[in-house]
Amino acid sequence: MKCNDIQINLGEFMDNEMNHEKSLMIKKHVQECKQCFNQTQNILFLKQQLESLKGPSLNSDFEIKLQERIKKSNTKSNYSKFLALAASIALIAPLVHYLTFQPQLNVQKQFIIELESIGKTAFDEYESFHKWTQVVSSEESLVCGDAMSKRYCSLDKQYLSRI
Amino acid sequence: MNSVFKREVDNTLKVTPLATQISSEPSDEMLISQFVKGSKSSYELLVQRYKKRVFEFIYFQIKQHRHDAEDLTQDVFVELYKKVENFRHESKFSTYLFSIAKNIVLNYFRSNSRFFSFSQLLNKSEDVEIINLHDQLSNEAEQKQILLAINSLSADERQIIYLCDKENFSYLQVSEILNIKLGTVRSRLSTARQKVISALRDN
Ligand SMILES: [Zn+2]
Repeated sequence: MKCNDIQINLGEFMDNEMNHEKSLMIKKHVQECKQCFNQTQNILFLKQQLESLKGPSLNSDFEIKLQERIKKSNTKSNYSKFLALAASIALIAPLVHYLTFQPQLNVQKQFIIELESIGKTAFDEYESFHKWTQVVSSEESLVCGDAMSKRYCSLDKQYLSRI
Repeated sequence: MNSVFKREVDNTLKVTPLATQISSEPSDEMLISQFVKGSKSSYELLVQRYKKRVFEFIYFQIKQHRHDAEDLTQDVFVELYKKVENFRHESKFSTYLFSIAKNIVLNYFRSNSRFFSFSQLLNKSEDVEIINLHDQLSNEAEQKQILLAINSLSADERQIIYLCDKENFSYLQVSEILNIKLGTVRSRLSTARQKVISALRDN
């Protein structure tokens, strides 16, 4: 194989994305060819450099902002759901009245999980920020976390919503 | 929202730390399933776990515009929150999250066409002697040079080189994230690397 053909495949070779047989053949060539060996070193160098690239740190209020945005988008979507419901009721009501048809509201029961704070954990600030804990009941599970930089445990409980 | 089980906080609830029983942290997949069921804490843990990686990915994709990168990182996690049910459990969570990030970067580029700099880096002739870059570059100049070089790549090339060489995703995962064929991953990655290596050599 010519050096050009080898060099096209060097990336795959370096990334371990090549079948064993082909990989052995490339390895043999690289051991004997200075040009191709240098190219492997360059790819390695590139990978090392990229691996050590560091960005700035995120602002400390990242989670708080995120929480606000999620809240906002939830309110928006709830509001638009309400509008859609109100509009459909406004359209359907007279028709229903006219037909003296009693619509059966098919309320879909769905599981909703509510989180309830059951107390704060006493983790050291520099300790790992979360730990899993266990509650005895199978219907409840406990999650501990450093959510929005408040250390707390919360209880996941399932209940049926009443829409 | 009305809670059927509204009750006072039960401080007497006996809680056994699981850390003594299970040494490893909850997996991404475990957290995402909890989140699908409604656990906000699991979502917050995922945010904690991935915010830095997602932020850095975006930061380097959009050429170090820090403020925009933070906003876009927020967008990624808002999207995750809203569309968590789109997650398919046959792929890894990180793959799914980075594919969201990729789309958000793409939309950003679409609305900021000024960032599209398809400055074509030289594809030098094949016969040029390959020198070993280790010998040529001094340590302190290296990072600056590498940044210049990746900034001069096309958006597609910058994405792939970052995902493969910084994030160490497999070719298969990259093909999932970018929604391209495996063969395209190979060829695009090879082109991107060659361009960076050439740029470093010529500087
Ligand atoms: Zn050779």
